[in-house]
Amino acid sequence: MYIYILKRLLALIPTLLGITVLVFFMVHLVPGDPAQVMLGERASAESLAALRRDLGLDQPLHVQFGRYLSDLMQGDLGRSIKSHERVSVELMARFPATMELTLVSMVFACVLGLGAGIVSAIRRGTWWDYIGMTASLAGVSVPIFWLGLLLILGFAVSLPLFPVSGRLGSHVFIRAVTGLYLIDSLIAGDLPAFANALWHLILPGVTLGTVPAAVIARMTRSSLLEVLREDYVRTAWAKGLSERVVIARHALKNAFIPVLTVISLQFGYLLGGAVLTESIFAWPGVGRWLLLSVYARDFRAIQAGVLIVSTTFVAINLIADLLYAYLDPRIKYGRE
Amino acid sequence: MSPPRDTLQTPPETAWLWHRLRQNRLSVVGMVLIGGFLLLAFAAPLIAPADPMKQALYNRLSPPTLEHPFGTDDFGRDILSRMIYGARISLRVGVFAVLIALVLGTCIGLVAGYWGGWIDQVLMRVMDLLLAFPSILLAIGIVAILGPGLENAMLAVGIVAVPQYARLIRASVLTVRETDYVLAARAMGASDARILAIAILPNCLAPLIVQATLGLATAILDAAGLSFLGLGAQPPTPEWGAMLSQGRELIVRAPWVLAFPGGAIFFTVLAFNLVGDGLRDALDPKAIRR
Repeated sequence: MYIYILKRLLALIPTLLGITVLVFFMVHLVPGDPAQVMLGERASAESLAALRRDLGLDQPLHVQFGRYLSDLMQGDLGRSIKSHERVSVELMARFPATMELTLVSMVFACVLGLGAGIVSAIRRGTWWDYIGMTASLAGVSVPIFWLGLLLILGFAVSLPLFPVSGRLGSHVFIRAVTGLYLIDSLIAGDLPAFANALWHLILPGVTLGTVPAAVIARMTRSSLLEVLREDYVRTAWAKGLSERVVIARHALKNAFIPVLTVISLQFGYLLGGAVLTESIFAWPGVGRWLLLSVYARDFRAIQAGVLIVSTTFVAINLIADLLYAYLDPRIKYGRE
Repeated sequence: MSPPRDTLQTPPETAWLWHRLRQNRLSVVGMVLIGGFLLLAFAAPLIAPADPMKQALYNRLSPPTLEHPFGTDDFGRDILSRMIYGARISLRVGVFAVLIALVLGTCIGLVAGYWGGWIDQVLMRVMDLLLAFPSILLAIGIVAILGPGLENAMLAVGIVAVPQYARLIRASVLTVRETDYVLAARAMGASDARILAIAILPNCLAPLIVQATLGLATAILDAAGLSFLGLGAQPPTPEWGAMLSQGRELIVRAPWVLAFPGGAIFFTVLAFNLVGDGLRDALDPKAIRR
């Protein structure tokens, strides 16, 4: 297992390097003069020259990349062109908000998706199956920006059950430890604050988690149906085991392997979808910040945002790969 | 429609596929919906009750009435007409984005799978790299570079999808490459290009058709998302995502401005997903045996 982990870690290096190269070249792919594009048509010659110097655009390309890489190693992502704040500071202030939203959405998606998928597979051909699969088909087709607005209209405006936007009520204060409000409020033992944070997470969490829930439900159903036809499941039935034992012990563990792949890929969807969800719910996370940076043509910030989100995605895929190897011992011994 | 020569060349599978697809009720629903949207798109000037761009400031935010069945927006424009014209834009964006992905992905996949070796390594590592980015994020990054606009959004959504097609085609090529009929073609002295075009590509088509149909759904959804964020179609273009974006501020006063364009995106995407699912089942040899 250790050798497998080491191999996977080594395989990360080219991927991360590739991402860095691509993100670095983003600025150089801008048609025309990037400094001009960032500052707009009416920028003065001095400010253009200053920005070029700041971005290192006056240096040869390999020098620029070397500088970018060495800065990156030291955790320096440069300064925002808009706010002149350090990008790394701005990013770290927003990253926990996105992480919390993503994780809550994933929990919602897994509970709903696995539940619906399992029920649909076990009760195949019944109304349960029919309702579950219709709902999941609708779920994969719904534009989440529309769903989010409908949820706001339904459950924040018409029926004022949930807040329209933000992470926390204005009267609530949580001392940041991890930056994840649900965890920080628990650390502080402040249950009302926990409830408030959770209450703010419901609508954005449901919005962002709906598509992954639907995808997971479909995958769970088909994977479980496949496994239920296997000989060893028939043997388990023949031994007279109860439905609970056959499903839980024999079928689910094996059916879960492809589902896990889908779940880890859905994290990518969540991290991307966070841009849309955060924009709708004024959620102060990386996605919304990235979008505002795109509007402001703040390339330093865009580079950093894309870099951090894709690195997170790569890390999550790695974790899934390792779990995968744990669940299916054939993987770590076989060919990669 | 098609000349007799084509009919002769049409493999019997096509008729059989059509037969299987028609047995799947959900696919039929999807096909009818797609047909409806295509009709709206092609006949927009004939069907639309009003000019989608015509403003009527005296009649702003009118709720649905007989004259304006879907109401009017904040410039007094007829939402139904804008939606009908929007079908043109969304379908066009979807088709072009998929075509970009299909052409690029097929070329890359064919080259990588057929020649193998270092070309394969390089191409596939680049594809893996693109897959390391969450797709909508990559699309946003591309639009950030190229500048906002419908064409650039279309390009971005297409590029993001390339790796899926490339991997699919490569995997098919790897299995087809070693078959007897490819060996036979090679033994007869066919050139690489001819082998690829005549012997390999046609046998990779089945998964490609499924992927392209489902890809249309994704492309329409992603492009609408980009327009919603203000990075795709720009106002006053009657694009569904952009219409939703304009309606955001009106959510309390005029929910119909949101409801209809969003519904249009939903049903279009649903339709392509239904047909895509149906095609996959129809083409899946395992499903046939059951």
